[in-house]
This record gives sequence, structure tokens and C-alpha cells, in this order.
Amino acid sequence: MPHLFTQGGSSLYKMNLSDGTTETLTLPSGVTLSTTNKPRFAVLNQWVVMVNSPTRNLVIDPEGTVRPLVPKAPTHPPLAAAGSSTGLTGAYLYKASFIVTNSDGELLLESPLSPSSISLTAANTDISLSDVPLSLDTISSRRLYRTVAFGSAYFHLMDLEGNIETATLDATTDAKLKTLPVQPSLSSPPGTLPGIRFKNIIEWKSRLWAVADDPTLIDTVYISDTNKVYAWNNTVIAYPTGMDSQGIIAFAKRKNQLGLLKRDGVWQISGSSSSTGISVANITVSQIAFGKTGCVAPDSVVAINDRVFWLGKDGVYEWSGDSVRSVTNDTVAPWFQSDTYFNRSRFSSAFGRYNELRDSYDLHLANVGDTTENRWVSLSLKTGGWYGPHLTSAFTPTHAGHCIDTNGLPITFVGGSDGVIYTGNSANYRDGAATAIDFDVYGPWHGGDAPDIEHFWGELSMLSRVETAGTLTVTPTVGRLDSSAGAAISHTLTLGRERLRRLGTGALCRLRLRHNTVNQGVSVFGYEVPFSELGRR
Amino acid sequence: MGASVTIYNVGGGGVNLVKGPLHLADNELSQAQNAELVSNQNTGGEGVLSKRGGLAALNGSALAGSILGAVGLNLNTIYTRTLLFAKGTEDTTTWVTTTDGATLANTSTPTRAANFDKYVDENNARSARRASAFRNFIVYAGNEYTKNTDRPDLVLWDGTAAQDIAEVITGPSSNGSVPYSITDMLTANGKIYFAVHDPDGANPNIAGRVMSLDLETGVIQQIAAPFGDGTGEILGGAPSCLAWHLGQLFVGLNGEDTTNGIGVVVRCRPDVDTTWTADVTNLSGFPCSMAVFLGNLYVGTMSSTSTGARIYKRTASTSAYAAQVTSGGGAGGNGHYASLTVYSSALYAVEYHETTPIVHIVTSTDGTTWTTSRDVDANDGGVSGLLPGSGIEFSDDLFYIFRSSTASANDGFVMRRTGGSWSKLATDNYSGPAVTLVRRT
Repeated sequence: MPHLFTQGGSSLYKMNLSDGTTETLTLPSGVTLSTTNKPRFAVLNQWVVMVNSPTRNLVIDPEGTVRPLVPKAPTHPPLAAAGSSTGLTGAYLYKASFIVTNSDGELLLESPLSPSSISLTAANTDISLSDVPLSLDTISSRRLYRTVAFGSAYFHLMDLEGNIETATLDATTDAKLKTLPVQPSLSSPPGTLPGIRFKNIIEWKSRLWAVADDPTLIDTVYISDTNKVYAWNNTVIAYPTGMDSQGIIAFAKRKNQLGLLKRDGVWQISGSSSSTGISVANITVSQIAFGKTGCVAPDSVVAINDRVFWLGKDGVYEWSGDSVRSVTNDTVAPWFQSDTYFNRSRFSSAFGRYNELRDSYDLHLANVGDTTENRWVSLSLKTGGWYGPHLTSAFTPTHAGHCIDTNGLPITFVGGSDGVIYTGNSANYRDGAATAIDFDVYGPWHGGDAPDIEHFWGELSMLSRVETAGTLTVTPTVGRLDSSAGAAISHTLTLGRERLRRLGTGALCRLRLRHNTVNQGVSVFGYEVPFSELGRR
Repeated sequence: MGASVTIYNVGGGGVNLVKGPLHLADNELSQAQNAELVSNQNTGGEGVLSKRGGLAALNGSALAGSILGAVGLNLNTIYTRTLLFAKGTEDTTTWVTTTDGATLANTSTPTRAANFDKYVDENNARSARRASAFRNFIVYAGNEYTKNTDRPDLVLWDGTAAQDIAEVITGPSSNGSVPYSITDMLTANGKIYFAVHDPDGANPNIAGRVMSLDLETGVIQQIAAPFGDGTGEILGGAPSCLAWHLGQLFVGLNGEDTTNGIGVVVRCRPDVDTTWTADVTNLSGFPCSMAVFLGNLYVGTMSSTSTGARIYKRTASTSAYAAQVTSGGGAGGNGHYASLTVYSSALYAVEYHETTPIVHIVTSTDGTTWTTSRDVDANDGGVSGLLPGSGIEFSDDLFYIFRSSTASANDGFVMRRTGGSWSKLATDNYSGPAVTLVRRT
């Protein structure tokens, strides 16, 4: 059954999507969640990885067990000394790591390896290992590696169970090592230790791709091994580096490209892939867009099929096909390029979501003068039209996203500062328990193709979907652009069609349609207004 | 001249703030607050401007603070654990189940686990006889074979259908006859290992094998050499209990003998070794249970003719075995320490001696100092003949099975430790194995 893993305040929850019940998940010892750094998630191989808000990168298994993404590496190797029995001849080196296994004995996580032990030359003795490192994390075992005699490559020797015993004996001949796995290549990515951390992460081609908040590494992308959440052996860099304080803001995932979004441009990672994932050796990084096409809000990025949308400095951009283009310049640029509508200083906190049922990209922004993202606008992907700014009086949105419900059907959701997650598209036409949705639309000015001419605007006919109750308030403005609104007209929504009063005399006419009654919907099919020219004054 | 504004695509062009106010098309808007187009004529339709849908609360109880982020996980994330106790042959029910550790229910859907008669030719040796859980199913020794005629079978139960997945073929160490029984199972190293008691061999060097079952390929493979008294076979007894320790499979052998000081534990790397290495050959009695605790291996043994049952510790740093506790029941009496089980940072076992009698659940937090956690014979009706079965942790509680006196008797019982206290959970026709099935929905 699908679940939602969510951060509410400084706690992590697993929410049952069928009934909304939640379970508070236990964080690893010493790990806390920030309430100022928003969490970022990625899913790989049935595990959820969580970064940015935790003091250490975390991984959550489907049941809800939370662990550090990468256990801290041992700080020292085992101490090797000649034992009192027989078995080994030659010079040997040891290393150790910390591992987490499941109840079937399968490896789930492994830390980077310890430094190498000092070479010990045995003369037909066994080797006593002591001071095997202990982990500060919750682990299953310590994994010990050893070279063959006089060798330099490390092979899996044994697992010392638990996190208490610090000594064991080794009399394993080289021949018994050779068929065992050779030492893995493991490292500690940012976020393994508190301090710096991954600020963003995404899954693409069965690997995790992440960027850190270390000012010197903000143009570097860390890459996990295929289907291994704990192995981070590769990096790529989006050159040029150090061009601004943010570096890579976010990732944009497409079918065959992974976008790296900076404030001033777009880079893409591309490469050949197979059923086993993508080869890091074959990937390329190139800049594909410059200047204002960049991204300013990491949580505004939403991938929809093979298209990606995000908020840039001066509008919303779409990356599809081979191009990055503005989808706001021709219609709603003033939303993003003036201080009339939104608080642009909070653009970096904007967040987006996909409303699959409406096929719209919804972007949450702060109303002008406000410091919370209490408005949102919607781009219809079917028509290209923008709608909004929308608002709700029920709560203050703080996060948004989309997922599937228990039936595998898409849902869009908005999280609030009240600790509640709300799902959209409800046919009850209310927000929360009983808050009306304020439908408030301003139509175009009508001038009868002769805006300089005075007109007589006759009886208004409203055609709307027949509702069980309710009235739509129609407020005409007749005159010039600076004229005051006229007296409101009430359209009864139970009628379907209603002939209303004459609108009056003036050069122009427009209608404001408003409905703010809880539990009632409105659908306007159209309206007609007969008019005649009165002449020029 | 009369004309009419006729608009039947209200808002179809969306908001436009770029054009001058006199230049908007009839289907454009200058504000569309809480308005949307819905591609469904039942609730709106294209070309119809509708009020947006509502935002309905998903969680009834608010979380502790603002929602700062969320991700949907489209997986089976509900884990339902069911504890199963194998039953004898008293009636048609085959297992007893519980999902909460308290409420029990009979079921006859999973086929029956190997019952008492399957171990008669094993001289009722104190083999561990555990079932095994792996991923989302359990595997256990089945009962649907005729001893000494058919091959023992392995059964898989996934909560829905019981399937015979394999039969254990006649081994090289046997006298050509089919195996007697499957004496223990262990999930480790991503595989299921199981111990087999074969015919042939003279006490204490009776025959047997250890096999692995790879449930991804279905392949059953013999691990290293067989046990018995033939050429190339490992002496010391048939395998009776298994443990995974230090990357190796440790096997306790049982020679169906009470001679003192011939208890054997062998070990090997299953994917590498072709033979077993004797880890110890002089335990006072034969091993019947093993567990890894605090990084060391512990072995529960049977009593011998001169020494009571013991629990030995194999220290990882020295590979040396040392007795940690000896049963007060003394020699003989079918004494043994059964079912070593790690629970709540402590190691538990059942101390059993039939003539005293002693039926105690004992425990140690350091492996050295052992105390009686529950005097089962004094408090719960533990008596000679009701032998200890599996010990298992489930839902933060510890359970110990005490087998019925016969295959059809209903005098077996289950002890449960919850909240730091022991109680008898139920009395029924229990045959010994207990295992936890995990299902994901």
C-alpha cells in the first residue's frame, strides 16, 4: 500500500494514504531535522533517501526504519598481531567497515573502509586481531578485509557480528579469500558527518544524483552506484565553477537527460544507458541554456512526462525537446517581473506540484507583502493558459507534491502550516472542513470593436451549469477603464440560463464573476450581452 | 446598429496581463482566482470556467508542525507479521497463528510441519528442528512424506498457498536409503541452509549433510563434505543445529551417544570450502542449539554420562570454547540446553532435565552469569516429556514452545515474555517449530 513519508515540524512521519493515519518514525541517534532546511527526497531500489533537513543524510526502508544513508567510517583499522596457532605465512594488511544487513543476511548498507593496518608478517602463525573498531551508528556487524600474503588488494575476510566484541582470530588461507568479493570502493559523501550536507537529490537511471551545500562543492554532482544508496564513488562537475553562491540549485529529470539547474543556466547530463543503468564513464555534461533560463527555486521544479517546469528569475520555464523556453513571457510576465502580485524576494522558497487530473503545473508563491507562500498559479498543460492567483483561507500552504493513492490513482496534495496534508480536486468545493473557495474572476473589457464609441449594453444572459443551489454574483463595470463597478447582479445557479438586467451605457463593459459559498460549485458556460452603438462623445 | 457580445469559452485563453486592457481576446481574463478548466462535461468541460476543486484534509490528526516536505512511496509498505506455531496431529489444523502475540487462531491452510514420527529414526535426538523465514515467506520441513520410504520435503508458505518446493535427495553418506529428516534450518548469507539426518553410520558417526537452498534459482546444493563414517566423510555425528558466525557456517553435530567429551562443532565457508573444519571436538555433550551473542558463538549441549548439560562460549578472539554454565540436573536424564535465543540484549535458553525434573527458561546478559528467568516446572506445568521447542522473538515479546508429549496430545504449551513478565499463553498440540511470516501489502 502506498504511503507518504513526510516531515512535519521537526518530526518524520509515515502516513497511510488510505485513512490518513500517521506513524512517527524514529530517527537515528543524534540526528535531528531542521525546520528551516526543507527536506528533499529520492526513491531508489525501494528505499527513500532524505537529505537537506536532517543533520545527516538518511535512508528509510519501506517499513519505516530510518538509518543514516552511509554509516560513519571506522576511524582506525584492527590491530593485527601474530597469534599462537598456525596458518598464515607472509605480510598481511587489514581494513574494517561497518555494515547493516537484513534478517536474511543480505547487505543493506556499508560504510567506507578504515585505514589500513600496519603490515604484519606472519611466519606460519594465525593472526590475532584486536581493537576491531566499534561504530557509533546502529549496525549489524563489522566487516573485515584482508590482503593475500604480500598483496595490496583487499578481500572480504569475515563479518564480526554485533558492535561489542573487538577481537577475533584469522587463520584463513589466501586460497579461501580469492573467491570472495574484493574490497568495495566506498566513500563518505557530504552529509555522512554533520556539518555539510546534501542539499538536493534525485533518482535518475537507477542512480542517486546529489549536490552538497559546501560552498566549494556546489557545482559538483555526487553519483551513487547503480541501485546502491550507500555507495558514492563518482562525481561530475558542471563547469564553470564558482560563478555564484548557489551553484547547482536543482535537478531536472527527463527520459534521457538529467538537467542541472543553476541560477544562470541549464546543464544536462546525458549518456548511454542499459538495463543495468547508466555508465558514469560514458556520460557527458554540457551547458544547454544560458542567462535567465536558470532556476531560482529548487522546489519549483516539476517533471511531467518528458517536460520539466521551474521558476526562473523572471518567469516559469519549460525544458522539453531540445529547448528551454519561457511559458510566462507572452501572458503573465507581470506576475514574475513586477512587484504588483507576488513577493519576488521569496521566489527561492516557491514550490511546485503537478495536478495530474487537471494536467496543470501549479506554482506556489508569496503574495505581495507576505512572507508565506499563500498563493498559487496554475498552468494548464493542455491549453497553455494560466489561472490564478489562487488562494485558500483554510490554511497556509508550506509544501506541495503529487503521488498516487491506495488505488494507484494520481493525487495532488498541499501541506499546510497547520500540520495537515490536503488533497486537491475535491468535488465538495470546500477547503478543509468548511472553508469556502473564493471564485473571483475578472473578464476582458468588451468594446464592441469600437472602444471609443459609447454603447448601450443590454440585458445580460448568463448560462451556467445547473447546480442544486447557490447564486453567482456578477458585477458589471460599464464605462471607461477607470469607472467604478456597477451594482451587483445575482445569477441563480439552479436555473442554467437566466436573463438578467440591462447593464447600462458606456464605452466599455466587463464582468466580474464571484462565488464564495462553501460546498457549492460554479461552472460558467458563457454569457451574452446585446449592445448597440450610441455614438461618439 | 445592434450586436451582441457572445462568449462561450469563458477563460479558455487563461489570464493575460501582457496585453493592453483593450486588447484581450474574449476568452482571456485579467484574473482567474480559484478558477480552472476541467476536461469533464459532468463537472465543467473544456471552454467552461469552473471553480477549482476543494482541498480536503488527508490526515485527521495534524502533525506536529508545518509540512515541510513529503514523498509518496509507491510500494507495499505495510508489513504484517504473523507468528506461527506448528501443531501435531491431534486434528486437521496444522498451525496456530497470531498477529499480536496474544490472540491465537488455528489454521489448516499451510501444510503440516514434520512431526514427531519423522524423528523416530533419529532416536529423538535433540536437534533444533527450526523453520526458517526468508523475505515474504517461510520454509519448513514438511510432513507429507512417509519416513524411510519417501524423501523429506521442504515446504514454502507465503501466507496464501503452501507449496512443496523441493525434496531432499538421497545423500552419498547414506546407505542408499532416503534421508530420515530435516533437523534444522537457518536463514543467513542470503540463503537458507538446512541440516539433514541420513541413514547409515554408527554412533557417534552417524550420517547427514548440510544443504543450501537458493530461493532465487531453486537450486539445492550440498555444503562441503557429508557426515558419517565412510571415506571422506566427517566424523562426529549428523548435523543438528546451525549458526552463522564470522562469515562461516557453524554446525553442531549429534552422534546419538552420551559418551562424555565428544561433542563436535564444525565450520566452513559455504561458497569456498569443500570440507569442514573441526572447530571443537571435546564438548561434554552433543550440541543441540547455537546462537551468536555479543559477537561470540554460544552452544547449548546435551548432558553426557558424566556431565550435565552445558552452555559453552566460543570466544571469537581465541576460538576457544569454555563452559559458562552447567545444568544442576547433572548427567543423563536427556538433559540439554535448548533453543538459544537472543532477545532484548540478553541470551535465553531452556534448561531441561527429565529426571529431576528441571524445565527452566534461563537467561544471561553477559553470556557468563546465568539466572533462571522462569521456573517453568514450578509455575507453568513444565514436566518431563514436554521437550522445549523453538524460541522466537515476535512483536517485542519472547516466546518459547514446549512440545506436546505425543504427536496427538494437546498438552504442549507456549510461554510468552511480555513487559518483563512470563506467562503461559496457551496449551495445545504443539510440535515444536515457531516462525514468523512477513507479508507486505
